[in-house]
Amino acid sequence: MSLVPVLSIPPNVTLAKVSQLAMHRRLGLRSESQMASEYVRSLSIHTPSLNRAVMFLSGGNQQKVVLARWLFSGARIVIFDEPTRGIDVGAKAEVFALMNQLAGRKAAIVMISSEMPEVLAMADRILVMKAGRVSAEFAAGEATQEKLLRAAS
Amino acid sequence: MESKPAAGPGRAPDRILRAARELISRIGPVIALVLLGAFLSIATPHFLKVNNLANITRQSAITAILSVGQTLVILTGGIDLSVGSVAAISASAAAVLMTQRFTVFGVVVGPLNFELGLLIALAVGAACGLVNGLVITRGRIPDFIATLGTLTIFQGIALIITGGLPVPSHLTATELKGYLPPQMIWMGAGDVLGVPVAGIVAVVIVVLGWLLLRYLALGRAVYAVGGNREAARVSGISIDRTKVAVYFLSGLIAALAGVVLAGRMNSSNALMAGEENLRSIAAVVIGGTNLFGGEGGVVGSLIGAFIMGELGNGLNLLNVSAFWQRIVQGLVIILVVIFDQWRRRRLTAAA
Repeated sequence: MSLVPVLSIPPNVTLAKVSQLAMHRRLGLRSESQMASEYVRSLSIHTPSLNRAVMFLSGGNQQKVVLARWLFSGARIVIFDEPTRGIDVGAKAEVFALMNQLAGRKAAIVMISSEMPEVLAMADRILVMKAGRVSAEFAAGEATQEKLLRAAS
Repeated sequence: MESKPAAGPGRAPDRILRAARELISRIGPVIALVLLGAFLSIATPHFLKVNNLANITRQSAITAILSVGQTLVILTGGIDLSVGSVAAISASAAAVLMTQRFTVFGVVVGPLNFELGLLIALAVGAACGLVNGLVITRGRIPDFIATLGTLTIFQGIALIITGGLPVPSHLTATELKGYLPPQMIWMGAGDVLGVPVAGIVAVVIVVLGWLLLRYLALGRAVYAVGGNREAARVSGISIDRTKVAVYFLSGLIAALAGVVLAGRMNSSNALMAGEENLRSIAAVVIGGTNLFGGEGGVVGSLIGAFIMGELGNGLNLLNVSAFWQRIVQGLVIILVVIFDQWRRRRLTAAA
């Protein structure tokens, strides 16, 4: 998980943007927490306060903080490596909604997953990897679980 | 363990309890400082005297200044074992130039005035810090090893510069001023309206360090690198540049501490701050900064430095022998860290 556990939500959300600043530049602390609280609301991140260290959040909420970072960073390509690993069903649905939201903002998403139903539901284009190589490619409509499994085995 | 995330704010008593616990853990070092001071005030009539407090301030200020740079380094997960050596080499180089006359290409130079000397000390310190940072990041070796090496290298260079003698000494300063510039002595031993200048310098450096950590992009990078190196890296923070920056600042700050120390003693020598290498680390740890990085700050280190100064002073006043003092100081460091670890585990378990 690419969070800084002892830091609170705002610095974790802005990390990818702040890293682009020169060292001597000032942080906008007030706008940072305003922005972060907007993400807490729009992503419904459950936290008792904005200033709680993110290590005290549940796995799903931590995942959402990471998502908020990349939403905020304005990244053009976002790679999700097993984005639903270890989070509960409700949070999974929220993560998918966020991925769609990101895609709606013209970001390209590469999702890596071994959960076939997730892949079938989310992807526009599916590449099956086998022993380190791409063994098959499907468009969104034409793939089924059987086809994917056959290409993978 | 509860798996359901807490929705909305917790119950009011819970929140108050948690806030109180966080507050106590934050100001724990202050409480220790005050309690120790209260105990010593009762235990010995000599403790709570203006002269004695000024004395503690002057002694602790050196450690406090050094501990600011040390805090920056430790927050990134590093450690700077060479701060005392950097202080000594910077002050010694400046002291030699400020007390002696040289012939450079047939031109007689020196003795330099205080302003130039201070500038040279800072430049030497910054250069040493830069060397530390580059050895660690280019050489890809642990901070501990790199600064352990430079610790003795800087001492060696300082010994060469000073010829192994105190500066000024009756051997080297025969022809000219036998003393360091009065401004330098003022920084180490003077006072303004009864407040030791060294203490003012320490507070100014602490405030600058606090501002840097809280408001600048570098400060954020420092916490991110120490809190989770990998997260910082994937977020685009340059670990190497952050490291070089903190070691550079640590060297710069150490040079200032060296100037203050030399001013206090009215003399500089190559080995003068040997104990400070480890004292500054102890001050940072006592001040509540996590030795593995990511958590803590410079204000705690200031308090930590004063706790150590107060402790040493108190033990002296109580006629505890110097042999036993070392044992007590070591025990205090260990106990503080044991307590700190216990507190952290409880805080994590409570969530």
